Formats: sequence, structure tokens, C-alpha cells
Amino acid sequence: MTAGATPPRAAQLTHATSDMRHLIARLIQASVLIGLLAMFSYASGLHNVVRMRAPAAGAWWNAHEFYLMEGAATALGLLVALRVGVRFAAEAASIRYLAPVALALEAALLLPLTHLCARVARIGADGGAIVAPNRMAAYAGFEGGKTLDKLLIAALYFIKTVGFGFLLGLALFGAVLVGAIVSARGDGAPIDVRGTRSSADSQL
Amino acid sequence: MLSLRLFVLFIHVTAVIVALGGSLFSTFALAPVLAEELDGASRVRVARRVTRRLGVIVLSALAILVVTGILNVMFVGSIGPLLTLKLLLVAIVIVLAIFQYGTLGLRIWRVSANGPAPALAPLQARFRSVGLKVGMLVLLIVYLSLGLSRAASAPLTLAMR
Repeated sequence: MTAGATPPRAAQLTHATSDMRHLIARLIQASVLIGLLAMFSYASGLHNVVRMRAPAAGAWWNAHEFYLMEGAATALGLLVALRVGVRFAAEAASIRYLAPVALALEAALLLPLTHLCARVARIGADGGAIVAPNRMAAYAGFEGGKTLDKLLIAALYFIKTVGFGFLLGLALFGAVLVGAIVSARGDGAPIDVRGTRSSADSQL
Repeated sequence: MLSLRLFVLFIHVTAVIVALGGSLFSTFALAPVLAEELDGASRVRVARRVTRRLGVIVLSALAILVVTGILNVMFVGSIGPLLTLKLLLVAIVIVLAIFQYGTLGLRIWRVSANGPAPALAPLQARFRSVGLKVGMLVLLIVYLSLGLSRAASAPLTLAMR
């Protein structure tokens, strides 16, 4: 391609898709970081340490760490689902608007979905709940076992929230994909650009 | 009698019927008849439209399935190993369906734009193969669901006795 010439549409789309993938990857990293930090803080009472240095910040962190954990876990599930969806819908991934629309929908629905996922994740399995704390107390002593138990509960809650977020994210991506399929023109030409092979093809 | 729980369950079961029934009908009834009755060009034209429409129906049904399924979990009030396995299979089914319609289906749509093409037959074979896997997994999920619903209704049955 000569300098200054307009890049072909296919190349533009590949760039757009690639940028979108990078954005999703960064958001996933941020969700993991915030989620794990909030989870460990919630389980180990890290807010007390912050309170000693900055009481106002510690109080704020204590009031919000649980919601941050829930929100980050849900966002993580939704984003991983989006990444999986984009990867497995290789042909549809060449559609410029598919991933951004799905991402915008996820952002708009994050709060209600967080409430839903967090509520479902609170539901536990029947029975056997006392086994794990007892074993941990036998292994690490009462105080250590108590901390480990809190950590285990928080980690399970986090993982379950991520799981439900993932399922809802897949459903959401499926709904957006339906829109993309419907918008395919009746004459058979695409869906966005003919002959564009997205990089997702090679990943499958 | 007519509770929200029952309504959600009704929508959930209807979505399963639509998703599974559509795929099975297309694979076992429509595709063989098309192959026997129509010439190549017409068959491709009909098949590509069916593929597209089926994608919309199946993916919509799966999205409804997830939402109503999560509401059902809230109604049931426990997440055991069986339900965890079921949810895992549901995730796999949705990913496979996204691959089937988001990659293979759209590729069939694109390749067949100008009538029959050599690349079409392997694509359609792969499309059917993935569809069958999805169908079998959905049947397994239905079987697990029966186990879950029977387990959930067992105390009620005992109480009624």
C-alpha cells in the first residue's frame, strides 16, 4: 500500500476487530485485578489496615469492597463470555459493530446483572457446609481456619458470580449475534464485508 | 396454581422445545427432503435461508433459556453438583451454537450467495455435525434437568403421602 492511500475496508475492519480485542483483554485484566483485590480485602479485613493510615478512605473501602467484588466478578464473567463469543463467531466477528454493541450492552446492563448474579451466587449447595471449616480449623488452628474459611467463602462467591456472569454474557452475545444474522442482506452479501477473513478464523 | 415460578418454567421448557425441535427438524426432516426434491441451485437457496432463520430461532431460544434458567435456580434455592454440571453443559452448548451459526452458518450464507459452490458441501456437513453435537448435549441437559426436578419434587411427594 502506498503512503497516504486509503487502507482497504477489509484491513480497516481487521484493525477495528483487533483494537476491540485489546480493549476487551485490558478490561478483563482490570476486572481480575479489582475483583481479586476486593475479594482478599473483604475476606481478610484489609480495610482495617487502610483505616489506620487514612480513616476516611478505609471507611469508604469497607463500605464498597463487597460491591466492587460483586461488580468485578460479574464484569469478568460478561467480558470473558464476550471474548469467547467473538472468537467462536469468527465470521460474525468481522462485523465492525458486533463486539462494540455487545460491550455497550454489557456496560449498560452491568448494574442489574450484578444484582442478579450476586443474588444467585449466594445460593449454596445443600449440606456438607460444616466440613470445610472444620478441616481448615484442624489444619490451621481456630484463628487461621476462620480466616481461611472466610477466604474460601469469598472465593467461592466470586467464582460463582463469575460463572453466572459468563452464562448471562453468552446469552447476551447470542442475542447480539441474532441481530447480526438478521441484518445480513437478503441478496447474500454480507453481513459486512465480503472476503474478509478475520484473525479469529485461524484461532479456531 | 398459576405462579410466576410455573410461568418461568413454562417459558424455559418452551425454549428447549424450540431450540432442540428446530435443530432436529432441520437435520432429520428438512435436509433429506430438500436433497431429494430440489435441484442444486434451489436446494442451496432454500438451505441458506433456513440456516439463517434457524440461527435466529435457536440463538434466541438459548438466550431465553439462560435467563429463565437463572430465575429457576433462584426459585429452586440450591446449587448442587448436578446443577453445576448442567450449567457447565449449557455454557458448552451455547458456545457450540455460537460457533455453528456465528461461523459456519454465516460462512454458508456467504459462500452460497451465488448458488452452489464446491466449498459448500464440507461446510454443510460440519454444520450438521456441530448441530448434532448440540442436540445430543441438549438431550443430556434435559436428562439432568429431569433428575433435578425429580429430586426437587421428592420431598413434596413424600409430604403429600
